[in-house]
Amino acid sequence: MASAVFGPATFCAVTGGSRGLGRSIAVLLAGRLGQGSRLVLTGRSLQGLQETKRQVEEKSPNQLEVKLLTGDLEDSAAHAAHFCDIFADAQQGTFKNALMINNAATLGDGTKKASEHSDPQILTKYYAANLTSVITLTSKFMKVFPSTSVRRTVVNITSDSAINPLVNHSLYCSGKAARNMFFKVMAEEDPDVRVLSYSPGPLDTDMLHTVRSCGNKGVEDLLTSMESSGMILSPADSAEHLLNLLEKDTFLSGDFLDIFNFKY
Amino acid sequence: MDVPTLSAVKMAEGGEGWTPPFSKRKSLCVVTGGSRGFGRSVAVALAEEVARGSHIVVLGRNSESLRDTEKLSKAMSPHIQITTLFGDLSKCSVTGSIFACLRFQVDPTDYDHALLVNNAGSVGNVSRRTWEHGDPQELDSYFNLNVASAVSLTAKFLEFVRPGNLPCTIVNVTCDEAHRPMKCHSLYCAGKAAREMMFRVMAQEEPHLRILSYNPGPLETELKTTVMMEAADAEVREEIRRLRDDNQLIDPDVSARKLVQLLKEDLFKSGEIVNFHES
Repeated sequence: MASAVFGPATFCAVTGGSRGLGRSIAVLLAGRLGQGSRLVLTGRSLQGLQETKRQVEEKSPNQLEVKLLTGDLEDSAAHAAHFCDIFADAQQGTFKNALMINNAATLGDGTKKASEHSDPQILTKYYAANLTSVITLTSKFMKVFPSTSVRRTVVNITSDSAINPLVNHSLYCSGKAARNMFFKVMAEEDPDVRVLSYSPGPLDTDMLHTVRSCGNKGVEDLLTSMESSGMILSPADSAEHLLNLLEKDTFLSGDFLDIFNFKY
Repeated sequence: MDVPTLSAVKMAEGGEGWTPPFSKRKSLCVVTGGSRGFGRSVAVALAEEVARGSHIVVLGRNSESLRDTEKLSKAMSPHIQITTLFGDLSKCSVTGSIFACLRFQVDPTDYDHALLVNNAGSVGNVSRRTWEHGDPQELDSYFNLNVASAVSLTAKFLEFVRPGNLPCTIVNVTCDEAHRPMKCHSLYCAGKAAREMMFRVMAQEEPHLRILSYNPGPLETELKTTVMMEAADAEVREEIRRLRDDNQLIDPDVSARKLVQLLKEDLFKSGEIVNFHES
């Protein structure tokens, strides 16, 4: 069954594909991307990416082309080359659909309060990885796939923290808030691109465990109570919800939706 | 309705928890982006209100314009000290050197109150659409100036005044675009959203700090003129032109005085956003 969004000849890039939600998204895409599609996964761990690739190839019925690229998004100077590699050989006419999933993210130092972030170099690196990289990558994506020939979708993996402050996570919250606005502007400026900010919910991943061990009792207690009430979700379920949203394609471009279909 | 702060509750003067009114407090104030526009207006409005013996430090990127700010501020009050510091906050190293410099000139224990106004900022290249921002160095520089410098400056400022054990007020100058997407303003919207959130988290983490995000309203400054002339989108240019023609652009001096009034009254809820247009 060919889908308009994931049908044949779809180019798809997922950042942060070496584990967690990125891996789940990649594996689910494997089952949906049509003939002649290409999946590019980026991440910091080659080992992690290779395991994701193995799981993807298990699921993929169409001999999906999978490309792996390691890179550190904290290093802005390396962005240009890294992003060129992501889109290498994606010549005009090869693909009918293009999907960019901006999933890679870091939390920043959870033991520090906002008033303790005095080192500007740490801040620059943080925003380079979580904000600048997303902007330049999306820019490259749009250059490689101009509107006339290809149906384009850009996903911003966001968080409740883009809207609701979370103590000890000022960098994470501020980066997500910035991305949210950036993509809203993008949706306004180009009605031909489908732009979605998706908040996956609290997921059972390494990231959540890191948040939990930030040293703030309030945060720890919050996550513990979420866990006992069964509110922590599996990344696979959240990834499925995202792909269903994309496939249904009824969201308003620029929307900020979460797994519970709550519209922020 | 805002919950009154401790200082606003009627307490006997000198009683526990009582904070002296602005006009009686020897304030150490730092204002960034003070060479022109709103920053200059804030420096001048503060100079008019702060108590004798206060010190206003103005940071900016244009030495000549800084001297004008200094002159205008000094004209408001001969009984306060004005210091100007040149620095480009788009460069990482500058926030550190600002306080290294101030250490020789300022002793925080001489003051009763500390105020930092994070005003420095830029609108970014409005002739570019979201997908045309492809230069990582330009973006780093933009977010250094508009986000990172405000964060690290605030952290260093708090560290600097700690020996004086001073009550501190931090102001974040914000705008509608922190919430309202505006074409040609992708970087500006992103940066302002990041700052607002940063200071909201800070307010939650530090209940003893007074943190105010102040939206001065659409101001009649060079920033707006730049947008009116250079924005890639005709509707955006037209909107500013209309604001200007309908006299809806606000005099930055008027807005700055409103900010200082809010600081004097000290009734705002820490972390909240207050707009010029709110009564």
